[in-house]
Amino acid sequence: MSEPLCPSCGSCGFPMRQPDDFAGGRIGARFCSTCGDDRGELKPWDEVLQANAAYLVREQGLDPRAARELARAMLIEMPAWKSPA
Amino acid sequence: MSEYSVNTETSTAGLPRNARLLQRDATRRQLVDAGLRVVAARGLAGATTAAIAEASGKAHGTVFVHFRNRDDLVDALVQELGRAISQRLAELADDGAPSDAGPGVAEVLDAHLAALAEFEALVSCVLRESATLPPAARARVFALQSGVAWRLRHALARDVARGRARAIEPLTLANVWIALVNHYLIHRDLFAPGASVVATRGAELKAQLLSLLAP
Repeated sequence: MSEPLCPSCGSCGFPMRQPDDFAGGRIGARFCSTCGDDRGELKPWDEVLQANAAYLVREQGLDPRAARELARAMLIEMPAWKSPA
Repeated sequence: MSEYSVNTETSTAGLPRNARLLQRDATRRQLVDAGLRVVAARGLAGATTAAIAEASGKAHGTVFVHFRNRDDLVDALVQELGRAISQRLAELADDGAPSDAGPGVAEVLDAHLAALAEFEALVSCVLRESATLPPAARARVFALQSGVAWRLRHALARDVARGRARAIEPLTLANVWIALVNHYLIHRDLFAPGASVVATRGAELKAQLLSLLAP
């Protein structure tokens, strides 16, 4: 499992392969099109949290509050949001 | 800089800073790879920091240079597993195709099964213990499943447009598939004793799902 992987979003971990996957359609952007804005910059925390929770609700039907907690638990461990140890 | 000046990028161990960072990344990678091997062999409950250190040939204390605690390490293991499966899924499902010529449901199921087959023992362990995983790791399991669901949603729309499938609620399709495949993976010892459940029963699972979509 040590082979190089495609870039993943520094905010949510989504693998980015196609231009549309990257924020602003910019290949090489650090964030995905959900977590980043048109300039490739990271969106505000509340907006990113809401978008990631909504994704879990839409695709798997999770309870909205549970989805928000799951999304929060995942995001705070990602490089973009992780607090220094 | 004169030829006698000290290179501030050099450590006391004589390694340039970049080399130190590469070495640090390599050690972390060795710990994660060893962790995945330990989980596949002993399950998550058996994946203690001491067992992973031993499997990697590193000192126990080295684990805590790279991970705050066991939960942090378990999260890294599940993250790595999710990344590897997502990567396989993206490659096999041919994301590069134009949206109207992209993969149908059958192709996405094939890709998902192929990715699962590659990491079957690990995925089975993680699913069995999903409810007790650290919150971040559990969230990654659901993020991965959402990725599969997202692909199925778009594949279903294409198949419906092609007249190959009847329109059903995409959420139903995704959850039926995830529940079905997870059930077989969690109880793989009962569905395919001593063998890969994906290899021996995967085609049957795919046929079951596709039968629900027959126009």
